[in-house]
Amino acid sequence: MTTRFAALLVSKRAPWLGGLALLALLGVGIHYANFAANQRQGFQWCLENAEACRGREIRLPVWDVVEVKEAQYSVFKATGPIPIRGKTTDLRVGDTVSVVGTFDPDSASIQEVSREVHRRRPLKKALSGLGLSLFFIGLPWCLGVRGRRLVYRG
Amino acid sequence: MADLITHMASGLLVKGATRGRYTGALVAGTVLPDLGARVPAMGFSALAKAGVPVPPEVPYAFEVLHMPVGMLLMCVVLALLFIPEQRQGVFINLVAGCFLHLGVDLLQDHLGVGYLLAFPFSTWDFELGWMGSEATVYLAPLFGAASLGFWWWRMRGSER
Repeated sequence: MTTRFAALLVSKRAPWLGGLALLALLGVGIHYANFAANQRQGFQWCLENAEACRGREIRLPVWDVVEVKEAQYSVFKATGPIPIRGKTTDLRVGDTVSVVGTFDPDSASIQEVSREVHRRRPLKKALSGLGLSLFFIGLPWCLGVRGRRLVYRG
Repeated sequence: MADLITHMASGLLVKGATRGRYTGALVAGTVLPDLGARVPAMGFSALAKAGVPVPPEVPYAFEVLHMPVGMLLMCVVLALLFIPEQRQGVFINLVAGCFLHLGVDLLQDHLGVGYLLAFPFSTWDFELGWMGSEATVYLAPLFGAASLGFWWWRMRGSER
């Protein structure tokens, strides 16, 4: 099977394989986007099915704090903001948190049960930025162009 | 996701250990899942936070590039951009790099909300949860430098 696939990669049918792979990627992407936004039973789903969701545990790993009030804060990641009731004395806008809480339909918010503030997140983002810069700096050393194709130069 | 320096360093470590060719392709593979999935998601999230109406489906759509099926498809497309005689080597190393990336990410803990390893066939998620999501940041510069040195030493006189 491996040999057959390797042969397919260099055959005249290779452009079809590329087209099919792109189409499949698009299809899986759309399917996942629909699943994540509309079918996963997270906060948004709980808002639409409030009573069924009363007291349900909701986990929000690595979300950004976008608003801080006295006993409530809001987080955002791709969607939101999601209001969370809990202690806010150690929180600032821009912090990154992971929260475990329960859905409260009466206040349409999450009651925080436990929380971790990711204090080292900015350092991690800086390191990833550095890695990305090194990647793009190194790219021209590894790649050339022959005709309309890329050539790996090592 | 672990930081990208840690991911790239893990790629160099593997290539140093195996003394295999296509180091650049394997290291690129360790970067691609985050470059393809996380960078657009962060960009769209920033836009949405700034008040730009971004449908939530848009950033989610890129996340398949951080899943095994999406990684394989992405590597097929990228490998086909190369000259025929290099396609197999580039493809194998891109895939190896992507899966190495996923392997490192699986070590992390995200409150038990793991990675969807079998999507679109299943929505089962998994993570090992052995370390925090920022556990590598203080070690990353040291690990990066040591991996680069190890790779350089092992690859002297070899094709890269």
